Amino acid sequence: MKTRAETFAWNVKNQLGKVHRVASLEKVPALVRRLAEQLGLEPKAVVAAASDLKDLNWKGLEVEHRPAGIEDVLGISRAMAGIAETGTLVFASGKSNPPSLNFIPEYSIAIVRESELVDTSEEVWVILREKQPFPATINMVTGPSRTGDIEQTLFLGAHGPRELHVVMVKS
Amino acid sequence: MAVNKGKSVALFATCLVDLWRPAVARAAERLLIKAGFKVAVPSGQTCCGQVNYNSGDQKGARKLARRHIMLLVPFDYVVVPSGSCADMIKNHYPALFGNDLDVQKTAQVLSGKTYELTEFLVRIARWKPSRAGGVKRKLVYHDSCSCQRSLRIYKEPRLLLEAQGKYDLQALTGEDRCCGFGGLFSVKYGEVSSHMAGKKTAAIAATEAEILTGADLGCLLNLSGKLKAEGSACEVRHIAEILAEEEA
Amino acid sequence: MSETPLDFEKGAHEALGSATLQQALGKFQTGYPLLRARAMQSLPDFEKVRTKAARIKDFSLKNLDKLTDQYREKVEANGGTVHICETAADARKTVVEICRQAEAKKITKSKSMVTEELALNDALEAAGMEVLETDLGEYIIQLAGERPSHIVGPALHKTKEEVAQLFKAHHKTRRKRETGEQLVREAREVLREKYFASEVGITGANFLIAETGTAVIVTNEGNADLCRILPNTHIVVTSMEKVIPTLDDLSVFLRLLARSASGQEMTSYTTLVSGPRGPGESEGPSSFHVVIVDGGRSKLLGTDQQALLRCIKCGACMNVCPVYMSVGGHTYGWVYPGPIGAVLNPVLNGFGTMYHNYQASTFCGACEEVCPVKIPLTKIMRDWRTRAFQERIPGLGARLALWLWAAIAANPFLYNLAAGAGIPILRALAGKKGVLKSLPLAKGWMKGRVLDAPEGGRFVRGRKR
Repeated sequence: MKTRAETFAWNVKNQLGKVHRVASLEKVPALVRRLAEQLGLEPKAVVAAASDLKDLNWKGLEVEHRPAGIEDVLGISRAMAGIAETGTLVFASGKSNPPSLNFIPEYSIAIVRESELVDTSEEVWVILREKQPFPATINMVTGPSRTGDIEQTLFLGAHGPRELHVVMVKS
Repeated sequence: MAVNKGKSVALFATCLVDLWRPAVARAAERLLIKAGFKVAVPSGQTCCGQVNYNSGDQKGARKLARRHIMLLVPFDYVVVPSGSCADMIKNHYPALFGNDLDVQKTAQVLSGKTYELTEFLVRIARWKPSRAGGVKRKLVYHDSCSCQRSLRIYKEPRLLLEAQGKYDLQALTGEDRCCGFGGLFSVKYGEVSSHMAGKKTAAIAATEAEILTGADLGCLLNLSGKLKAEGSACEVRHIAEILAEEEA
Repeated sequence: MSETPLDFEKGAHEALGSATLQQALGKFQTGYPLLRARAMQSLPDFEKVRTKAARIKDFSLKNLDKLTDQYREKVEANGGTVHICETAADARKTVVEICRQAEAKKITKSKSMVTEELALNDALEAAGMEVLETDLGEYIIQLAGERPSHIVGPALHKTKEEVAQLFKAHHKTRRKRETGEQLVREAREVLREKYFASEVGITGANFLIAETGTAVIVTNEGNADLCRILPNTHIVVTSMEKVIPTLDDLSVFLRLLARSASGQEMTSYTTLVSGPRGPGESEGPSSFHVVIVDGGRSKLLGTDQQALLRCIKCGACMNVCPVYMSVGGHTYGWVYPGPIGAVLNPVLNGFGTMYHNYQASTFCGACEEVCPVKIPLTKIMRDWRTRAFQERIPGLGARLALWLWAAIAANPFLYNLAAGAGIPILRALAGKKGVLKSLPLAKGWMKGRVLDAPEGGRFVRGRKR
C-alpha cells in the first residue's frame, strides 16, 4: 500500500510534474536556488506572501512578494492542499496568494506540506466550506500547462508554466 | 442435446437472407436440427420492420412488428441468423407498443424467447459443431454492432469456430468499429458508408485472411461489395454456412 | 418543408477527399482509444460513476429553476451579476452591453462552445471591439476564419504546416516555424501581451455549482485563467443545463470529464470562480458577470429526450464515432459535431436545417458506450427521425418508398410476387459474375463498392410443406 504522500507524488509525476521532497520549510530557499541554477535562470522569484514563506531566509535569491508580471520567469506559490487521487494542488485566492503566480511565470514552484494532503477532492470541499468568504478564485493545478492543439502532439508550456515543481514538505 | 429434444424453434430467416442468400437460412436450419430442435419456418414471415423503424416510420414498423409478433410468439424459441433483426425483435418491438399494452405484453413474451443464432447455439442449445481437421485456412470474424453492443454477443461465435477447429481465427484491428452498413445509411450516405467499409477491409486485408465471416448479412454484403471492388479474393460467408460445413 | 437541409453529402465528399483531414482523423481514431483506456485504468468503476453522474444531472434538470435561483443568489452575495437569457440574441445583446459598460476595446476569450453557438465574436466585432481567442486551437481557427471541427480540439483538422503559414501571414515577424514546439512558443509570446492589454475576459464554464455560486472552468493550457485574472471584467458565458447542486457532485464529474475528453485523469487546470476579486485581494476582476443561455434547451425539459441535456461536452461520443472519423466536424454544418451534435443541433438550430445530422448514423452505438452521462444517443436520433417523418421533412419519394415497403412486406402474396419479379431481374443484370456494378435506386451503394446479386431461389417460399 502506498502512503497518501507517495500516491500524491506518483500522480504529480504521472501528470508530468516534478516532485521534490524536503524535511522542512527551511530547506526550500536552498532548493529554489539550486533549481534556478539548474534551469539556467537568474536567482530571482516572485513568491506568495504566505506567512510561512515570507518568514524564510531567502538569502541568495532576489525575492518579491507580489502578483506575477509579464517579465517574471520563476513563481513560487503556496498550496492550501494537495489531492492524492490525482496529484492536484489546490490554491485559494486571497491577500497573500495571487493566482497569477501559478500561470504567468514559465517555471512554477508550488509548496505543499504533507500534512495538507488529502485523498480526494471531496475532502478539499470540507476545508473550503469553512472559509468565509468563499475564495473568489480556486485553482486546482494538475501538472504543467499543456496543449495538444498542433497535430495532436503534446507540448508543455502552452500559456501557463512549462515546468511545475512540487515541493512536498515533510514537517 | 436431450434437453432440447422436441422443443420448437421458429426460424426467422429475415428478408435479406430469404431474398439474397437463402443458403444461409438452410444452413441455420440444419444447425438447429442438429442441435435437437423441432424447427419450424412460419410461412408469411417477411421483414421485421427495422428499415421503417430506423427511418422514423413508426406506423409502418408497427404494422410489420404486429404481424411478426403474432406469427412467432407461439413457439418455444425464435432464432434469427442476424444480430440486427434479433435486436429489433428483442429490444425494439416492445418499445413500439407503448400505446397498446396488450400487444406490448405479447412483444415482451416474444422478446424473452428470441435469440441470435450463435447466441442460441451456445447459450441455450449448448451445442458444439463437429470437429474438423486438415489444413487451417485463415479466417476473420466481423462483429456487427447489433451483436456486440445491443446483444452483448462476442464470445459465442468464437467459441463455435474454435470448437469446429477448421479455421485459423485471426484478430482484427478495430474489431469494435462499425463497417458502415447501417441499413439505408449505406445507400443514402453511400460515399461515407463506402469509406467506412474501406477502413474495415483494410484491416481485413492486413490479417491476410482468406475468408471473412459474420452473423449479419447486411454487414457481409457491404464488406463483400467493398472487397470485390478492391479486387480482393477474400471469400465472404455467413457464420451459419461456415458452421454447417461439417454437419451433414 | 420550411427549412432546406444543409448539404451533408457535399461536405462529406470534400472531407473524404482531403488527405490532411483524413490523416488527422486516422491518427485521432487510433490515438484516442488508447489514451482513454489508460486513463480509465484508474477508474475501474466507470459504470457506477457514470450512472451516478447521470442521476445527478437528472436531478439537477428536474430542479433546474430552484438550483439556478440558488446559484444566482450565491453569485450576487459574492458580488457578481447573473444574466439569464432566453435566446441567443438576448445573450449577444447582454454580453455586448457589459463590454460597452466596461469600455472594452480588446477582449480576450477562452474556448466556449456556447459562444460559438451565439456567434458572439461577430456581435462583439460588429460593436467595434477586438476579440481574441486564446485557446491555441481556437486561435488557429480564428486566424483561418473557420469554425471548430471538434468541441475539444477545434483545430484538429489543421496541419503544422498550415498553422505555420497562418502565423507567418498574421504575425508578420520572421522566425523559425518548423516544429510544433516553435509554434506553441510563438503563440504563447504573441498572446501573452494581449491578456495584459484587454479590458474584458470571456470564458465558458463546464459546471455551475448552486451550493456556492461557483463556475467551474476546465482547461489544459491555462489560457482561461489568464482571461480570468488579468482583465478588469470577467464574463462567464454558459448554458442553462450546466447547473449542478454541490461541490461533491463536481467531484463525480471531474472523475469523468478529462478521462472522457482527452484520456487524462485530470486536466491541468480546474478553476472555480465564484465572484469578483475578494476583499483585500490584489488580483482578479473587479466586475464579474455570468450569462446563462437557454437558446432552445428548455424545450427539452420534461420530454423523453431531456437526457441529452446531461451532456458535459467532453467530446467522447465523436471521438469514437465512425461517421465523425470519416467526415470530420465541419460536415455537420453547425456548432456541435458528432453524435451529440446529431441530437442537439436540431433542437437549437432546426430539425429541417439539421436534418442530416440525425439521419447520417448507422446506429452503431459506440457513442453510448463511452458517454460519461449515459445519454441514449441512438434512441434520441431515432426519436428525431420519427419526429421528422411525422413532420414530413423527408421528401415525398422517401416517405412513399417506406410506405410501399411496409405495405408489401405486410402482405406475403405481394411480397412473393415482388421477390419473384425482382430477384431474376437483379440476377440478369448482374450477369455471370453475379455482381451488380450499377443500380438506379442504389446509386449511393455503388460508390466505390459493388453489390453481390441474390444467389437465386428463396428460403421461406421454396419450402416443402
